Amino acid sequence: MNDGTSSPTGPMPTSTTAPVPALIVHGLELRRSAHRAETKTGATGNTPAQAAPPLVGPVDLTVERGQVVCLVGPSGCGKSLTCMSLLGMLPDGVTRTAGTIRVNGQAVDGQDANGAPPERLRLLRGRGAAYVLQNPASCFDPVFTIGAHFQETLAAHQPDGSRSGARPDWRTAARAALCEVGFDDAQAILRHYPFQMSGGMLQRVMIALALVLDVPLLIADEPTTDLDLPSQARVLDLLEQVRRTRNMAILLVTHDLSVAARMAHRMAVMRHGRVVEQGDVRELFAAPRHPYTRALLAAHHRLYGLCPPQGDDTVQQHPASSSAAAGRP
Amino acid sequence: MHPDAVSTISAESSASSFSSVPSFSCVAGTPGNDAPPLLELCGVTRSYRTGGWFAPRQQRQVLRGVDLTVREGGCTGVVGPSGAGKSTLCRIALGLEQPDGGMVRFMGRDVRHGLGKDRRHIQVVFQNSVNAVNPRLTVERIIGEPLENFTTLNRRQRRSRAGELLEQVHLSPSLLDRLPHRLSGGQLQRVCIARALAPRPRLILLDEALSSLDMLVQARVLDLLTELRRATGVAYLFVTHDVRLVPLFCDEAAVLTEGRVAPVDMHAPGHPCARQQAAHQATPHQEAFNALRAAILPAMPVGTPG
Repeated sequence: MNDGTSSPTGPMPTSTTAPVPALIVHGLELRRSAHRAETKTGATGNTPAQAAPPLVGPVDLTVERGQVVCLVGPSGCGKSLTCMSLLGMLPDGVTRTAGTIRVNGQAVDGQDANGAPPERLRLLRGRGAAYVLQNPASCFDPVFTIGAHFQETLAAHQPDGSRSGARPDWRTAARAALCEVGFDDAQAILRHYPFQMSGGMLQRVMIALALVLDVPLLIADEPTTDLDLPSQARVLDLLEQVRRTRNMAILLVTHDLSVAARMAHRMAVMRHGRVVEQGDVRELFAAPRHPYTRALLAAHHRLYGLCPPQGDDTVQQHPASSSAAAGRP
Repeated sequence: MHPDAVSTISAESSASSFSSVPSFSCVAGTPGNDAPPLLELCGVTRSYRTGGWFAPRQQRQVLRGVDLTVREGGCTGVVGPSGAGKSTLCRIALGLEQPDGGMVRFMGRDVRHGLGKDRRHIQVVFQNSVNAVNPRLTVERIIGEPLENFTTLNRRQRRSRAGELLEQVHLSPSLLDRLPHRLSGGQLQRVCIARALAPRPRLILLDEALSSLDMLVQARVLDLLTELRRATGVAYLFVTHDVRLVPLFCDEAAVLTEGRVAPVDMHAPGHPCARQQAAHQATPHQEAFNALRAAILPAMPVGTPG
């Protein structure tokens, strides 16, 4: 039901009830902390400036298994900060001051007690959620092969949380994941260096790195923004395939409403750190309520040569619209 | 100079400031535009050696004879698949790279070896704004750099002009003293656009410059650039992969594929602005353009009520 910012929480389900949602966020608030150096330990040991308004929040989000929720909003609205907090990773100077985050039923605490993970492993956490970023090239170490990245990822995120080195069968797992994302010659890809691959290919490798950890939730932060249209379509088709075959929950952050139109079951619109409207994507497109959502949809429709919806009226097609605006499935 | 507004979609007005979405007008093609050419590429070729130091060298021909003209006050869109050579084309047009063959003229002068005194008249906005700015300079200094290089304004005047330019791109002048890492991606991209506008150039090259902007900002920036073109006669070469933007912003479109550029009809058949020339229908470039258009994501979710 599209009823604005409803709270999705309830009692934690038992084994006889519906499957646990992959992600439940309730009342999340992120604030700038007063002492930058002590932010890594989360809520303890520092004094965030409670008087200042939160950078983000309060935010409520739920993503069920097999569902895609699009988080839509302008740049700077807090989408990426929200995603980082879901992985228990916040940059220096930002702390979580309120709210709960449960990934696959397990609470996500503050920063890793061992300190921030190395920059290159920033892309994945392996604790129930994996993260795919906008600029894939920046997440790869240029002097290591793709295979080395798989080895490193698997070594760092053992299922039992230990860091005892890669499994001996890491190559098998890596090849299987690369095949799943559509590479014909997975063995050759393992030997490639990042510079030998295009943006679209690196994005698929990022998704493969996420798949190899077999997590129930994938957070994709603007995964298609810098890609050309055919590559965008391929990456989104791949995400859709992964959702279907693995019943994966996907939180897809984007500023492009056509990505939400293609992928989402539900959409949450964010502005200035708050979720201003969320609900079923079709209802939001047909009858947006919040003025900001309406403005976004108006800009979106003009891009396609359509007239924006007038309140709750149906969308009317502009007589001069191109064939691409026909809303093909 | 340009026949305007065959169809205009007017803005929706509302009390809230962000709800006043700017209008786009569909500018008809200008087959009869006889303004003098500003930028001309004739038969430009460029190849690169691939393989690195230890692999066998191979020659990869990126541009195989590119002809492209941007006229005074015109707006030409160049689309093409990733890896087609669009960025190479931009660098050659800017005089940052020398072509292997062919001619590049800007304002009538051969600029293959650099633009010389005409440098202020051609500016560029790249896709990745983070890499396009000096991270140690404030916004004021970033926008002021072309003013320092090409004008005789003093520090106070440069700061004032930088503030005006920020307002033109819908940013607050209070950002003048910020460093780039404290701006969002969209804000930084607009700072780069303000920097390109600063020396009042004759041609601005937009190399995927709008790709990373969110929808409302993109709409406003497109509207701003369109207004500037009407007011000052600046020309644009708009390189993009988002073919949805091309009919909204450009007079004419060309496709770069297989190392060559050819004009295409950017409107769908049946559109009032679509050209009647049957010759455009079957070329490989038109097919490449149609394929890009076919990859556009849907406007509406499947099963939207109504």
